Amino acid sequence: MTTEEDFEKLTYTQRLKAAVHHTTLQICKEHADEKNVQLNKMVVAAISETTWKKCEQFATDLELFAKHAKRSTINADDVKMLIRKTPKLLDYINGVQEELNASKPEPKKRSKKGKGKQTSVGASTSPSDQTEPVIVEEES
Amino acid sequence: NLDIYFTFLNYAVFKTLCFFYFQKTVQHILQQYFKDEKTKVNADALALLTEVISIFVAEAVGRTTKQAKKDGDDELTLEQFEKILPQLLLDF
Repeated sequence: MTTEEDFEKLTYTQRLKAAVHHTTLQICKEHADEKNVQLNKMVVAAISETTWKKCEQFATDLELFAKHAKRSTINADDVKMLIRKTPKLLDYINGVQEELNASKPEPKKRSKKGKGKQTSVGASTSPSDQTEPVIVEEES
Repeated sequence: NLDIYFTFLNYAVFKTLCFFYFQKTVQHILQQYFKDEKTKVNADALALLTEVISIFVAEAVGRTTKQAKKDGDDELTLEQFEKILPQLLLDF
C-alpha cells in the first residue's frame, strides 16, 4: 500500500515539476524573443530545476517565519522577509502589493469612529510598507 | 483601432489567467514541502510569492543572455547559466 502511495506522490511531484517547466519555458521564450537570442532546451531545464529547488527553500523558510510569528497562515510580510537581500526587489514587491490593495474594495470603517478619524486614516496611508487593514486597526 | 484594443485586452486577460494558474501550481508546490499540515498561505502572500518566482526566472534568463552577449554567443549555453548561477542564488 505504501509503495502505491509513494508512486502517487512521485507522479504528483512529476506533474508539478512539469507545470513549473511549462511556465518557465513560457517566460524564457518571451525574454529570448525580446533580446533575439536562441534558447537551449538544457538551459530551460536547468532553470526549471533551479526554480523548483528555490520553491522548496522558500516553502521551508516561509513556514518557519510564520511559525516564529506564532501564526499558521503565511502572510505578505513573510514573503517580504524572504526577499530582504535585494532592496530593489523589495521596493518592487511593495509596489505590486500596493497595486493589489488598491484594486481591492476598501475595508469598512467601524461605526464607533467619528469623522475626525477618517482624515487621519487618509494621511497615514502614505507610508508604503503597511497594508490597509493594519492601518485601519491602528486608528481604533 | 478597436481591433488593437481587443487584442490588447485578450492578451491582458490571457496573462492574468496564466498568472492565476501559476499561483495554483505554486500553492501546491508549497504544500508539498510544508512540515506542518496546518500551514496555509494567504491569498496576498501567494500572489506576491508567484511574482517573486516569475522574477527569479526572468532574472535567470536575463543574466544568462547578458553573459551570452558578453561571450559573443547567439545561443544560450549551460556554461553561461552556470556562470551567473552563484550570484543569482545569493540575490534571492
